[in-house]
Amino acid sequence: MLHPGGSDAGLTSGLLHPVFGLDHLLAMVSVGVVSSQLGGKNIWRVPLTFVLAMGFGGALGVGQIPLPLAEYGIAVSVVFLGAGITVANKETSARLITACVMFFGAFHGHAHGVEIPQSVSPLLYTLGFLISTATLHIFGVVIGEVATMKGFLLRGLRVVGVAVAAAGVFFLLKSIGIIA
Amino acid sequence: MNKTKLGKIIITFALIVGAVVSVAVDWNATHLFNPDWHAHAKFHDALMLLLLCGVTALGVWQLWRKSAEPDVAIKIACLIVVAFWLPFFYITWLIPGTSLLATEGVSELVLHVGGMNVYPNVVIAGTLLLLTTVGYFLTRVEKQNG
Repeated sequence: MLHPGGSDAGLTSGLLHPVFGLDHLLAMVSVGVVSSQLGGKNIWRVPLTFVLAMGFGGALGVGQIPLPLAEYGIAVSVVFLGAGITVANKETSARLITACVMFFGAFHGHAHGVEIPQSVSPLLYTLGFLISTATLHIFGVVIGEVATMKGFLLRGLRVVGVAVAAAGVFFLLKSIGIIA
Repeated sequence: MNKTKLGKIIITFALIVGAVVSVAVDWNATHLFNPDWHAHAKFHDALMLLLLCGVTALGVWQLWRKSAEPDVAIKIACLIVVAFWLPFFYITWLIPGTSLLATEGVSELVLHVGGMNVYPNVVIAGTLLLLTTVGYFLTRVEKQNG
């Protein structure tokens, strides 16, 4: 199975796309970490919300329907999710996080959709990046779960959250054009 | 959500994604309906896909049915993933003349890491094996902690 090029290349391109964009990668893993910190059913609800919102945004993007300020939205999502890793716990409002994740997920999906290679199947490409996104969420959930086993790991994860938020600020400044 | 359930969800994800990706990639003109392929090669590809779908359904059912031996079910589900995806790492060495690419010479998605070619299907295989391993160990955590 699977070869690069030809009609099935859409799936492979879609699978690889989120992994090779640092902003997407950080945001998607962070969604998993934050959902783990919220706990309970949020472990699957929050990532599922992001994946569905991505599918919606991706459909807009594949249809070349513009979504204003998408680059800024992606950068802000990394800041938000990094901050989420730093502060989120079981008492944090899951509804607020879910709503924000839905909002930001559409931006990420749109970015993937507009960058679809012309030669590939939109359906397989979309399937590819949704599977890849869900996989990154799972790795984030696992990171969050492992961190709960030891106090120092949890403290370390909070520091990582600050670093992720800082990376988001960098992406935002780059999008605005303040950093070349 | 307890870690055993999370582990089972991850193993289920690996099983289903493996089947979906395999069918999505092979059920088209590059593989199953490739006019250059021998009819019997197409037969074997279809057989492999249908067998994979059946075994995947069996694995998911094993994982989630009420069982007196849930640990055995988890191991079976994990071994299904291992049995299908591990050979991606050695088939081309085991059987000369086989290839990881359906069409030679198309290599824009082959990664080059440290002088080695890393094929996307091997990356997928590795990812699914890693997910399954993580899922399996999550199911063991609570058992080990009593």
